[in-house]
Amino acid sequence: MKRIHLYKIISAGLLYLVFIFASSCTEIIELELDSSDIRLVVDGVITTDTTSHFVRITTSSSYFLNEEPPAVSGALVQIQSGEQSVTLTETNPESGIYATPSDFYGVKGIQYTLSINLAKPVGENTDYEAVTSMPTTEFSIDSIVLEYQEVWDFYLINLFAKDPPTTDFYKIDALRNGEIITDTAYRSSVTDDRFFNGNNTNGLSVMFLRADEVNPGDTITLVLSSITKEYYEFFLELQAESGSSNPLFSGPPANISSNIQQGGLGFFSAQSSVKESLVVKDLK
Amino acid sequence: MGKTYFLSLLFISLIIGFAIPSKTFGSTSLLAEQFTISGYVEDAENGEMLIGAAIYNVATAKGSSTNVYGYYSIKIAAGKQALIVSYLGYHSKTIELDVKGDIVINIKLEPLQVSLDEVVIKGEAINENILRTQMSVEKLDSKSIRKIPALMGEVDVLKAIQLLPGVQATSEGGSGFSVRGGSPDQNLILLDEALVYNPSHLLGFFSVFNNDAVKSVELYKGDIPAQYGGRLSSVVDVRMNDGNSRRFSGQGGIGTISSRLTLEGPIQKDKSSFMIAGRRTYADLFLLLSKDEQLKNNTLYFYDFNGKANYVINDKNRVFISGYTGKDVFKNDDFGMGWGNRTMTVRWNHLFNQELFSNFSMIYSRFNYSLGVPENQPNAFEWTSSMTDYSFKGDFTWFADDNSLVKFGLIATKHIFKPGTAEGLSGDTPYNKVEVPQNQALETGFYLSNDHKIGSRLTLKYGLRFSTFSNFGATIQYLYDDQYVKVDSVSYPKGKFYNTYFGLEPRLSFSYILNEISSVKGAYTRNIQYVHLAQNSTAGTPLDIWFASGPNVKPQKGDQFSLGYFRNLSKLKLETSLEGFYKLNHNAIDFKDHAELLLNQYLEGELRFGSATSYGLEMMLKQPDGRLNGWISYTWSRTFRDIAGINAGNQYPAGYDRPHDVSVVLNFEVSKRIMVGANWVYSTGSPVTFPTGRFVIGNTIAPVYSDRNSYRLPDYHRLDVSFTYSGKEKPNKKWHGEWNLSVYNAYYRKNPWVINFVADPAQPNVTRAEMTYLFGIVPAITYNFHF
Repeated sequence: MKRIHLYKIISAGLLYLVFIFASSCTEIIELELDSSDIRLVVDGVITTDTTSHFVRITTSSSYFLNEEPPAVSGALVQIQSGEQSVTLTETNPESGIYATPSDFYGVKGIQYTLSINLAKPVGENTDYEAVTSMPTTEFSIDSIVLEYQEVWDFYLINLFAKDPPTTDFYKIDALRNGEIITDTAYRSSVTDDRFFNGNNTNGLSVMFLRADEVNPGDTITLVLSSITKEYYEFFLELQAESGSSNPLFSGPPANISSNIQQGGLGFFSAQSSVKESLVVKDLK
Repeated sequence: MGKTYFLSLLFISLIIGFAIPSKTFGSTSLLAEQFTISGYVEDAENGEMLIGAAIYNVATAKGSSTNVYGYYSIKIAAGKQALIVSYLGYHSKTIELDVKGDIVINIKLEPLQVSLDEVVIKGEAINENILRTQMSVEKLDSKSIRKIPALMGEVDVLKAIQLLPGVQATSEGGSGFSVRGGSPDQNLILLDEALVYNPSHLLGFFSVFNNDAVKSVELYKGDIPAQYGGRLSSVVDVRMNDGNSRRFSGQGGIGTISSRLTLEGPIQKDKSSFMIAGRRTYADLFLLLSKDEQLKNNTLYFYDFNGKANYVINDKNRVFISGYTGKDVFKNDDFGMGWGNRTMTVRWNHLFNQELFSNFSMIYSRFNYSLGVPENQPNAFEWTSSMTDYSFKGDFTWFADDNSLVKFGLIATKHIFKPGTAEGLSGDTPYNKVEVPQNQALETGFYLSNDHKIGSRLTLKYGLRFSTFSNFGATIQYLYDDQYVKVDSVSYPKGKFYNTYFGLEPRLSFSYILNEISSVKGAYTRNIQYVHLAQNSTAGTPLDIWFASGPNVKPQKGDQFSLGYFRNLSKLKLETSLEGFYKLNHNAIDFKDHAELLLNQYLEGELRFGSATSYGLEMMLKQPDGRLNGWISYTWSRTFRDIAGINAGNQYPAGYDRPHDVSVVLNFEVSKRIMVGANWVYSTGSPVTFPTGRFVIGNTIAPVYSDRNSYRLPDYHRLDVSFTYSGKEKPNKKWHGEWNLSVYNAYYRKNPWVINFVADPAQPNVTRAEMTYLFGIVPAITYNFHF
């Protein structure tokens, strides 16, 4: 609830403020910014599904680069768990995207180490490492319900599930006909279970979809993933720092945390997911 | 320990020093027999007590002034004597007396009506600002506040304060302010002695003080007198009108966003009076006119209600009761939110004799908020939080003799903190109850001070405050390791005191009169602050959480040194001042990166500690009255913070570090019926953190930041103007009306409220800087009246 409900509710309050101060206005401005050191960026996720898992390796850039991030190609990328080790192969030359074999899957409770050996150093380092564990949360989805909100003209996905009594962290995504809708940090959400630990969620609204994103006949899939506390915090920070801030509700800007050691950016995450789908009827 | 011991010794010797009757040593007493003249100074028209009116003994060239209840007491030699009584905005009065014994005399001063032909003679031209021993103080009355052009025509006490040297607004259009680089939670804001925890309405854009109900406002920026304690940076002492004791009268106004009405009058003439004042906004009434059903269902307003009554029992006893309640409401079918302050003060003024004045107060103060989804909705929930204080206070003023004014007293406050509880309301709610444990504390303060005149030029003020702060149960106290991770918790039973802090706060100052138009003043003060605000944003929301010092949080301590030179250009009646200050804030509190402050049981784990330093120079040129009046002030100041774990442990400029700050406030009476006012403000842009790089996660572009606050927003400047047209004054006409037209941001400066760095929604990979400004030109019209 904390992020899903509250933040949007407070934003609604802010909208009213803007309504009152109708003269407020936003415009694009030109600014000169300094550049900081180039750092290695890792974006990797492994799940309990048996499939190819991807790790994307890029570097940071100046703020107004306005191009795809520079790919880091030709690295030796491996994932170790205990005695076992798999080597990831770059999907396309110069892509910087590395894939596990397609029979790879993560196991709950197992610790994974991502190690990267670069062909050329980035930020004076050639070796980078990240460690994460697959969360052990045991959970499933009973059902999901799509609810149309006439006042705001959007759909809510309401979740019926039971949260286990452990302290858990979740990420929530949505797919339409198998395509991801929540393709940016802003659209996804993450939550801890502080407010509903051990309870039936009883139709808690966990996702909103714009009316133009939903058509009768579409299959909507909700993906509920169990994530680590560190990734939960990383994702909250990513949401906060990539979106707009305002002096009323935002704290001072601060760098996003990372589990990439040796001064890297980004995150190597392990998560287990469950999915539930429904077919949209004409709800309006 | 040695230092504490030494200070305790000093405290004891001070007490002993006072105990020796100075009369036996006094030089004046040898010359002639001395008698005491005492009484109250009041407004001749409405009977309001005048705070800080000067009483000047012509023969000895010594002065005194009325205390916050309008009481004075002065020693005078037998025989024919003259006293001059003066107060800004009033005709001075000379009282001639043939003194044969002690005299009680209540003095009535006539308010000044500035007009074109009249040459204002201000009594004997007493240079009150030169003679006053107090430094770093600014005084505003409701009349001068009213003249300042205001946002949406809403005259605002706190926004007037922001125009004074050394004071800065914390954000555009907001009523929050920083004094000499301090945080907004370091301001002690008092309304009739009761602490106001959140002095704002409408997310900070307006303050809770209805100017019509306010008599006077005093701002102490340094040299904070020993009777005030508990905050590091400043004291804003707001006093409400007592109520007209002569006749029934009223005032009010109909404005663009709110209407006000104040009624006051005698209950029994000259014996008891009352004042009630109300204000309400009506933005939501416009929502009703909307065709949009969605908007129609919204409720959005705030209101204020002030009430006060006083009763003169006899010459020696007076009682007052005053209260304030105000609330903001924002509600629709899906969501509701409300917050408000409530204060209540019951006071008893008692004269033990002509020389010993006392006041006893019982004070209640509360700030609370709640938000949630209404009960008839599925998954309804409610989140509440509150902060409640109960205080008892005793203050004594001993007008010992010509050379010393002794003040002493005590205050004890019980704080009840309820940082937050959230729970589901429906039977099958998915929500657990989440509660940040309630906790309590007892804060006390004892003080003793003496204004000691040595000869006719030098005054020393020395005072000491001893304060204590004790946490007590029932509560749960969490313990943290050195990485701020919670490792343990301890439950304390009800009433169990488990942690106590105490400290000595010396308050020392001097003033030296160089000649009748100039003086030098200096001060050193230490203040201790035991309660702190968990507020991470600059503008401030109503979702305030106050937290107490305790096992994990040391009290904040502040040391301030100030030195000033004051000079009046007497021919022009211009007051000038130059003040410098240096401030150290020990145990300064900040919040870790990405801190979670709301509904967090482990809030104390989000805190980081260090120190803050501020220094600066303030210059002011002021014309207090006349056809053209106002002031020009310039402040140069810096403020830095050093907090372990923030900005990699390196020093960074605080959010309110704006080196150059200029305010120009002018009023000009064009004719008897037309007045124009203007204010112009300029300040260096606020320090901000900008990205110096970016990286990509999925499709999300994320920033890499510079060092904290290493960039600046563009400079801030703004002009506001107002034009007031009064109705014709006619004899026997009681109703006086005036139209006020104000224009905020008259030359349409786009002052950035925030600069955001965001991805362009239309073009992947493109990021851009977006500047948001809140106000274009904001005109407002208000009709004000009084009768």
